[in-house]
Amino acid sequence: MKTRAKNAIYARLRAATRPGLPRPAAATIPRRPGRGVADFETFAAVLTTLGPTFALARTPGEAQAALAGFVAANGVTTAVRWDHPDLDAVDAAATLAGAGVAVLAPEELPDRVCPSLAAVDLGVTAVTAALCATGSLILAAAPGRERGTPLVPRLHVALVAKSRLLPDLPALLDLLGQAPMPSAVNCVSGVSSTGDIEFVYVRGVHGPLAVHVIGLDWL
Amino acid sequence: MSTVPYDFGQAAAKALRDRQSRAVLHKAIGHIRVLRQRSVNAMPDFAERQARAVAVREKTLSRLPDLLEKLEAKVVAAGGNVHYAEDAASASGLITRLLTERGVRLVVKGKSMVSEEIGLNDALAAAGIEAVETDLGEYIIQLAGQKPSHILAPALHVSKEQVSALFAHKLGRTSTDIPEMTRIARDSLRQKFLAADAGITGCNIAIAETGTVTVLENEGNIRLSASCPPIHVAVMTLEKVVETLADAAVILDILPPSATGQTLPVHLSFFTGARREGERDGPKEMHLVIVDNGRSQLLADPVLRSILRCIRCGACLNVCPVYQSVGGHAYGTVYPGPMGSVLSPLLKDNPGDARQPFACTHCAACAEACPAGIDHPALLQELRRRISAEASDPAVTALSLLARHPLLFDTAAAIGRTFDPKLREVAAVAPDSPVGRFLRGREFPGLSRPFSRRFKALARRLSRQGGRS
Repeated sequence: MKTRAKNAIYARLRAATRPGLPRPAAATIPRRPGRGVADFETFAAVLTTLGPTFALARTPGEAQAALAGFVAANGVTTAVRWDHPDLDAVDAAATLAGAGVAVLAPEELPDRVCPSLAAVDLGVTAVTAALCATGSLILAAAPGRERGTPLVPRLHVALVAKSRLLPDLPALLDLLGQAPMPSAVNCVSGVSSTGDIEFVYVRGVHGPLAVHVIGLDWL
Repeated sequence: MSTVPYDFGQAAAKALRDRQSRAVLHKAIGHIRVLRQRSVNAMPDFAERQARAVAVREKTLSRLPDLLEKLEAKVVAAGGNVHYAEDAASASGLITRLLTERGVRLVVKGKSMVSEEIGLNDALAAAGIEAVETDLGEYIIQLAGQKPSHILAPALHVSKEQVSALFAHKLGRTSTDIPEMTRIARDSLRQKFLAADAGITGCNIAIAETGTVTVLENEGNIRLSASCPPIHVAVMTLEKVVETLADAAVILDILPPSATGQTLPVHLSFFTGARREGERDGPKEMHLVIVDNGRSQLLADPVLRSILRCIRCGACLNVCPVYQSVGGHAYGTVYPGPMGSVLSPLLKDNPGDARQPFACTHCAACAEACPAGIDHPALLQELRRRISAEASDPAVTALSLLARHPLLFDTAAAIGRTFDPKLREVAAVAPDSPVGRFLRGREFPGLSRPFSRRFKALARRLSRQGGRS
C-alpha cells in the first residue's frame, strides 16, 4: 500500500513534468561587494538589538572573567556544556568549576537528555559559525554537542571565535554544502519570542530566557 | 465532514456583525501589515529577490518528481524514513498508525497547516493519543476548541481578555498581562515537551540535495518538538521541496520579510535525518510524510499550477480587503484569504464553499504583495470561469450576455433605471428566482446615472490626482 501511493503520486508528477516541457533554471543570490562584512562590531550591534548580551574578550583570561562574571551575576549553580575546541581554548569547564558551578559533561547525560536538563541553570556552547548581518548563532548537533544544552536550561552562553564569523545566511549555506549535514543545525537569532496574543511582542516563550555571547577576539 | 453545503455568504455576513472580533482582527492585521511594509521598503532590491524566488519555485515545480526522489534518498541515507500519502485521510491514518505501533501516548506538535489540512489532531485523538499544539497561538486555539484563522498567526482573532478567561478555565491559572499569560503557557507546555513520546512538525522548505527539513519559527516550540522526543515526524506537502541549499537561500531571503517583516525568525532550523551514532539526543527515529492531496493533479494544470509556488508567508491574507473584513473562519476552509481561495477548491478534500473563489474584489493587492509572483486574481477568475461553465447560473449567463453586447446592456440598464434603480424590487418580488439569488448578498451602486456618463468626470478627477483615487 505504501508503494501504491508513492507510485500513483509519481506517475501523476511524471506526466505533469514529462520531457519536452520547460525546465527553467534559477539564479542564486549574487555576491556583491560590501556583503562580506564579518567583524565583531557588526555582529554585536545586530545581536544586542535582538535580546542577547555581548562581551568581547581579547584574551583567554578575559573570556574566563566574562564567563565567571556571568554565572555570578545570574545565580548559576548548575551548568551543562558541550565538547568543543573553543570551550577548551578558554578552559570553560575549569572556569565554571572554579566559580562554584556543578558542571555536567556530555558523557554524564542520560539517554533522554532534555528532561534531565530541566533543572539545570545554564547551557554553555560554542558556535560552528555566527552571522553578522542577522546576529545569528549557528549551533550544530554532534556527539558531545547535545541539542538540549542550548535549549532547555534557563540561560545560554555561547562562545563565538572571531574566525567563525560569516557575513550572512547565504554564506552559511555555502559552508554547510561543503560537508555532510549534521543531524541538526540551528540558526538562532535572538531570544525566543512570540506575538501570538494581539500581536504584542513578548520575549522568552520557550528555551533560554537570556542568551549571553562571549566573542573570542584572538581565536 | 458536514453534508450541508457550506455557505460563505452567510458565514461572512455573520462575521461582519461581530464587531468585537473585527476590532481585534483589524488591529492585529494593521500591525503585521506595517511590519511587512517596513521590511519591504528597507529592501531596494525586493523585485530582484522576488524574481529569484519565482525562478526557484518554477524550477522546483518543473522537476518535482526528480527532486522528491533525491530528497527521499538523502533522508534515508541520513537515517530517516519517507512515507507518501495520496490524500488527507491516508496521511492522518498513516501517522496515527505509525505512532500507535510505537506505543506513543503524548505528542507535542509544532504549528503546521498541512496537519490541519489532513485533520491530524482528530485522527490522533480518536486513537487515544494526546496531541498538544505548542505554538502559543495554536495552543490557544486548541484550548478554545477552534480552528486557526490565519496561516501564520492562528489566534489573530482572539482578544487578550478571551485568552485570559480561557486560561483560567482550562489551566486554572491566569492573568490579564500578556507577558504573564505567555509565561503560564511556557510552564504548562514545558511539562509536555519533556514528557512527550513524539514530536510532529511541519516543513517550510525541504532541501533535496541534503535531505533536510527546514523550519522557521520565533518561539522555539518546533525546535523543542524536533529535538527532545525520541521520535520526530515531519509532515510536508509535496511542492515544499527545493533542489539545493542555494535554492533554499533564495526562498529564505524573502520568506521572513514577507511573513513577519523579520530578516530571519529567531529559530531557523535544519533537521537532517535521525540522531547520529554517538549523539545523546535528537530523535532516534525520524519520519518524513509527503502529502499529495490533489497537488500532483494540479501540477498538470497549465494555468492554476502557479498556486503551487506559494511559500505560505501569509502576505496575501494581510493585504486582502475581504480577509480583513470577514477574518479567516468565515471561509470555512483550512487555508483562508487569497491563496486559500485559489488552493482550497483544488485540494482533494475541501470542506469549504466551492464558491470561495468568488470572495474576491479583484483589487490585486495580494498579487502585488506575493513574494512568489502568484497572480491570485487571474487564478480566481479562471476558477470562477470553470465553476460557472460547470454549473450554469441563468442570472450569470444573462449578465454575461449583457456584458458582451453593449447595446443590450444599455437597454437593460435603462429599463432597470426607470423601474427599479437599486434592483431591490426584483430581489424582493422573486427572492428564489435565479436573479433574486444573484442579487442577494450583492450590493449595487445604484443605476441612477449610467457609468458611461459618470466616467468622463471621474477620469478628469483621477488624472488631476495623478491616477490615485
